[in-house]
This record gives sequence, C-alpha cells and structure tokens, in this order.
Amino acid sequence: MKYIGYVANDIQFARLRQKDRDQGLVFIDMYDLPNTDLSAYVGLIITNYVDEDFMMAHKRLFEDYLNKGGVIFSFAKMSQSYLPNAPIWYRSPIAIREREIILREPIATMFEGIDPYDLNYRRGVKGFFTRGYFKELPDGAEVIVEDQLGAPIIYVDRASTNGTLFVGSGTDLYQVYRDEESSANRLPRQILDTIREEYASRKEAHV
Amino acid sequence: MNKIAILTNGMSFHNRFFAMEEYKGLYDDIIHITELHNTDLSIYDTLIVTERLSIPHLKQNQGKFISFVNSGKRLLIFGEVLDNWFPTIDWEESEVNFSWWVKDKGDLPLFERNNMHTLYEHVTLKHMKWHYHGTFQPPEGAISLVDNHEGRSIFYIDQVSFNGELVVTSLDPIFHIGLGFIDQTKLFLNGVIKWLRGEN
Repeated sequence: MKYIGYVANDIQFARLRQKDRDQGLVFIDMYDLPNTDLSAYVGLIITNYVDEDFMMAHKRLFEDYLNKGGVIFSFAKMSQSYLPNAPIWYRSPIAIREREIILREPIATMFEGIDPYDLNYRRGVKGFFTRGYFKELPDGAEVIVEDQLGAPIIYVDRASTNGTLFVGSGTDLYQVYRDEESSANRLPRQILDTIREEYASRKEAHV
Repeated sequence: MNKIAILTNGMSFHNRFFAMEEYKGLYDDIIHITELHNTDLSIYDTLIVTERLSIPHLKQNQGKFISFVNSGKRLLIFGEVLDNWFPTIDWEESEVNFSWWVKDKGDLPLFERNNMHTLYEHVTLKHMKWHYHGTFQPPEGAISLVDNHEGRSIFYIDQVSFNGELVVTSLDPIFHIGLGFIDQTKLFLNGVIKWLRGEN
C-alpha cells in the first residue's frame, strides 16, 4: 500500500473513516507535521482546515517534500501562500447558482467517467466545487478544470519543484464526493489513483 | 462594558472573516487557540469559541473554559462539541440536510422555543435556518431557543450549571461568512452581535 497523508486540524469534518483508511489514507494532525516523517507518504492531501500561521511557519516542509519528488493535492483556500508559488484563493465573482465547472478534452484521468452535472450539483444544490478561483497561476502550471469564463478551478504545477503540486479552489473533493449516489463518487478514488500515478512517474523520471 | 474575546485557529475562513469590517463589532480581541493557555481571560466578560477549532487544543484548555464560565462570565460556543471537549455538553452529530430549500415546499423542521428570550429581539427563526451539523440535549434547567423535529436543541442557554452563562449552538455562521456563501448566516450573526452588545 502506498500511503497518502491527509493533513488537517483534528475536527469533525476532517476525521477519516475505515473506508478511507482502507484506501491508504492516513490522518496527519497538522500540528504534528514537524515530527512526521513525510517520506512514508507518496502524497499529501491538504484540506481547508489548517492553521495558516502554523503552515507559514513550516512552509519549508512542503517545499522539501515536493523537491524530493513528493505529490501534494491542496484543497486549502489559502489566504496566505505556504505552498511553492501557489496563489491565494479568491471567491468567484460569478454567483454560485450560475457558475459551472467545465471539463474540457482531454479529460484528466481523475475525472474519467464522471458527468460534470454530478460535480456541479449535489442533491440539486450547486456550489461545492465552484466557490473560488485563482487569479494568477505560476509559470508552467497547467489548468485541469476551469469555469465558464476560463477561471482556473484546479491546476497542476510540475515546474516549480521536483515534485507535483495539484491545487484546487473548490471544496475538499475527497470528503465531499465520497458518499454521493452519482458518478461523482468515482472522484475521491480517482484522486488517490492520480496522486499515486504521479508519484510513480516523478520517481521514474528522476531515476 | 462587555469586553469580548474570540478564538481563532488561523484557518483561512477565520482570516477572511476577521478582515471584514462589518463584523468587527462581534469582538474586541482575537486570541489564537494555540496561545489560549498563556492568555489572561480575566479582563473579558464574554469568550466566543468559533466553530471548527482544533479539538486537541480545546481539550487542553478545558479547565480554562470551565473556570471562565464559573467566574460569572459568558461563554458562547459555536459548532461541534466532539470528544466531550466541554464536559457538560451532550452533543450528537446529525446528517446534514443542506438541500431542503431546493425541494418544492421543502423545509428544515426547526422550532422556536422560549421566544421571549432577548435573542429573539434581534434574530428570527428564519435567520437560523440554513443547516446544522449536530444537536444537543440541554441539561435540566437550561433553556433551548431552537429545537429540531426530534426535540433536540441546536441553540440553548445554560444558566444553571455554572456561575456564569453558557451559550451553545451548533450553527456555523463564521465559517460560511468567511467563505462567502449562505446569506442567512450574516443576518443571524448581525443579530447575535446586537444581542451580545445589548443593543435595542
């Protein structure tokens, strides 16, 4: 099993269940990061439930981890930037009810087999995926998902470090879609697969 | 004079909320949860525990919270009370009904209780209706202001367990205002500010 760390404050909305642990996710209380051997993990998911002051004070941890070929998928809606070259998050000027997530060809593997409608709506409610965006992306970043005006919702940066940084501006795609009764329930598993595949390909490239 | 301190966890929605001018009337000072153990609370009349704070840090400060409310002060708690971080609060997680309002004639069954309470001079039931993540069983002698369909409270006031006043709600307005969605949360929090500040 290639383990992926799930980095969060220990609160109700960040706790993992057996189903998550069975998929190789390991909860990391963000305050334990300085004492955590991150080499045990092929990837880290960073949630929106992190103390940014603490993350800023330990930002070297993330840079070092990435430079060793690690993979980070961040769902943090940052108001301070503690990830390499990652921009801060802005609330979209488009009303939630009108904003759409657009999947363009070629579809990223994490979105394979998923109907965009199921991402845009949960039980008829919009806005889980589309609350925010990034104004400026780092050089070399690739947009994976955007809204109807072309504002980036998820991007990937393989240029700033020796690792891979995925950054999303929606909600926590792992937690929110894991119990959906729609095609969107494929997304959490496919995100974990993407992280593992990315790690393997980065390692291969550096052999 | 009602001097109010509010706890933060430095999360992005906290940072955005505290940057908003229109809510600065809610608090006089901001205390980071990681600094709470070193903070003298005796200068404050009210302490606000915001939602979604680190449970280990809340537990570490349990004695401080109890001493505060036992010294005759008001402790206002938003959000979840997991792992008995505050020992007298009977909390139960709920399945969240976030989609009731998009259904034809949909409703979130919540009921006013003790509506002569002064909070209701500033807040209506509608202001408190978005969704909730859990419920409480108030202790004997405490009063609920809002019950769900099972008779469990989502907002209660306990003036019997301690020398001060413990105000407990599972509502999470600061999270939503900080992230910028669900407008009722603003109406609710503005009412709470007026209530805390004793405005007419």
